[in-house]
Amino acid sequence: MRLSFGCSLLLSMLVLEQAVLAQAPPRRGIAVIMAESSTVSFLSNEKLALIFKRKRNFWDNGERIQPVNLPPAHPLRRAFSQQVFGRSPEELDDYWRDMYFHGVLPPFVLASEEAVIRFVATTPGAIGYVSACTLDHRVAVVLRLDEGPACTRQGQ
Amino acid sequence: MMDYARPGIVVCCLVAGLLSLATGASLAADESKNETTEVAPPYQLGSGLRLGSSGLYVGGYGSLEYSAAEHGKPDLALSHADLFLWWEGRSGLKFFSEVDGEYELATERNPNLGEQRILSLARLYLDDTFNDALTVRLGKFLTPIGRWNLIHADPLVWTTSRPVPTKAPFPQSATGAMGLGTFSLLGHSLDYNVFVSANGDLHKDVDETEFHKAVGLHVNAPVDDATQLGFSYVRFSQNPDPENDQTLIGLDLLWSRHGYEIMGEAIRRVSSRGSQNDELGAYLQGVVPMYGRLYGVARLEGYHQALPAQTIRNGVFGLAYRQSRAISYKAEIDRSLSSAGSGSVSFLTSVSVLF
Repeated sequence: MRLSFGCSLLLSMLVLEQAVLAQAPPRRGIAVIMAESSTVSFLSNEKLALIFKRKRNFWDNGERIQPVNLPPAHPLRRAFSQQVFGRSPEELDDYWRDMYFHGVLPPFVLASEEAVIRFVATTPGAIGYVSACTLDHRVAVVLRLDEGPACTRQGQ
Repeated sequence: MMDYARPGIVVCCLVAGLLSLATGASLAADESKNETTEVAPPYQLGSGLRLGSSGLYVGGYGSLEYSAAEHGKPDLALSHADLFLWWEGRSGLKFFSEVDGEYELATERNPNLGEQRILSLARLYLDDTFNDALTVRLGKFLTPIGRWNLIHADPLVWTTSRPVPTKAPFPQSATGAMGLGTFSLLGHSLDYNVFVSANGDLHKDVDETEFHKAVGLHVNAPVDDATQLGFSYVRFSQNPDPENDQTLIGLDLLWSRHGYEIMGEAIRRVSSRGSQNDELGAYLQGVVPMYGRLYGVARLEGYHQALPAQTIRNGVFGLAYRQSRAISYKAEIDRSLSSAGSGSVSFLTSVSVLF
């Protein structure tokens, strides 16, 4: 009797938890990430902007910074661009046209957030950004940006 | 003939040297293999061609121009065909070169307007970056005065014609050494260029002047997200009159927001030979988005030159259609008035491509 009551209670709690999780709004926001082993623990918004404009190219330890972007049409890239530069990726075209004239190219583009995590986790000096809800143990967060598209996947 | 062939020979030697350097680099690139295999981007117009994992890039731009001046014959010409070749290593070393082919093909050439068939070395330099605040550049580079001269390529600017105050008062390139970088001051990031130049130019365009000696700086500071202000200061003398010491002071401005743009420069050049040899000029250009990628452009400019003494006033009104980051079409009417009494109207149109 006591055993079946315990089982029922446990089952009820599990059902309740699933219901709460299903109704909870997905976590929003953008996480700027580096490899778990990185010595950088925090970045300001200003430094982040310089990095993604390729004006800041070296970490304090002399290692070359390797920023990676998502494709211009990706909702996360658009939110990142607005929050960090106050401009859409298209509005930055003039800037990158001028930089190209001096042999400076924009950050590499990766197709998906999973590709960004894999690249950042395995490349020395790399930095990227993903939805706050897609984080896992392979990377560390150095800055959180509040606004971002709704998450399509829960965290792991 | 020899002069004409020399830049080609120089570039061939550089390409051969860089390819051997690139081969060595690719053999040593195992450590970054995961990086290059994951992110090697496909070629896109206006982004240059990356040659494998060598760190070597090829790019450039071309411009086809049609001009019809009031007192001249209409002219269709390949006004620019420029080739960039650059190499960037992971250690902070970078090599950059630009070979400029002007008016290689043309139905008419007007030498008085600088329309000559010329193959020249526009840029050739080696950068060694120590940190973000200091890169040392050696070789031939664009003179860091104002804003237009540093981005003068056809696909980058809004008009086919170039404002007189951005080319008349100083040589457009310099051969020597430069320190450049970005540093923080009072919460703002400042870009700076400090340069010295001596003893002429490295295979210059025959149409351009050259420094005899020069020392100068340019500082650019963002005021806010939309506005940037620049300041230039240069002391120099030019060939073939090295005894005429000159001091140039300039201010430049760029404001851009949601497709609207205001850009301007003001420059004053003071001569050691007295105020009759001083020159002074300014331009102000506005850009307005009209429909989609179509923009309206208007520019007013004035320039007082010393020899012969006259003041030139230009008004430029035109349209620019930027099909993509790499391709732009422009059409404009330029109206020029001189204090000497002459005046002219010309129509210019061009298509330019970054590749």
